[in-house]
Amino acid sequence: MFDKQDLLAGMNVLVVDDVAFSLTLVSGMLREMGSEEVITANGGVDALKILQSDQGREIDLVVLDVNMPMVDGLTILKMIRDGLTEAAKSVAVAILTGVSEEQVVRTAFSLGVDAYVMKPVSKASLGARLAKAVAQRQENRVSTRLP
Amino acid sequence: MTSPSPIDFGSLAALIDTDDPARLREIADLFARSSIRMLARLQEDWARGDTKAVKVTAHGWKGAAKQACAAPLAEALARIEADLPEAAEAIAEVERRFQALQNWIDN
Repeated sequence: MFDKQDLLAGMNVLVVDDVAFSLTLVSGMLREMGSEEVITANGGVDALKILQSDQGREIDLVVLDVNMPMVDGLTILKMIRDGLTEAAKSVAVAILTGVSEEQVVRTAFSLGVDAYVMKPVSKASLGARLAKAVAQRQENRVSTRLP
Repeated sequence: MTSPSPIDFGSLAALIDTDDPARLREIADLFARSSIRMLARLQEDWARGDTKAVKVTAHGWKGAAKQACAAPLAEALARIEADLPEAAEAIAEVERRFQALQNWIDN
């Protein structure tokens, strides 16, 4: 039987947010849904350091807030899709934010985001959206490798 | 008319998929602790006259407040974003609502 506790089984996830409460709450939800490892970044600068480190090579999914001081979520998304590192090019990226402006949503999708999730979000809904985002990204990876 | 509860535990229970009162209390405490830092950040941004930072901080805190089902605080934070020239009054309202939330948690 499908078990929502296993939605993110085995995944290594990087969660990026500048608000401690959001980081802790979302990380807890991801662990409860089976994530192998949840790494937290307290803002964009921290996230870029992690993505460029050895730890960054093992990440399957990045969950990004949009509005953050210094380096915002859309900038990180663009850097990832522009090839920040070889491993990061194919990582799944989800935005988790309170920003609902249409222009921001459009920009995120044009930059290659895999899911755009609005706060507040339930654990069940978050898990389903993230699992779908990762599955889609993996499909894209396989299809681009086919001759 | 009674004012709304600083945190709607019913909605929070549904969001995080638990009916354990201890877990809900733990999350409320976590939100209050994180909010102390956000309030200090907001006050520092405002004192520096950095309106862009005020907006970013208010927005981030508002998202956390929504996720914590703390609607009265989230509404006050939205007012800062919506009307930056009047942010001084809006920040004072945020301080009052946060104090009400802390008192509610402590009692």
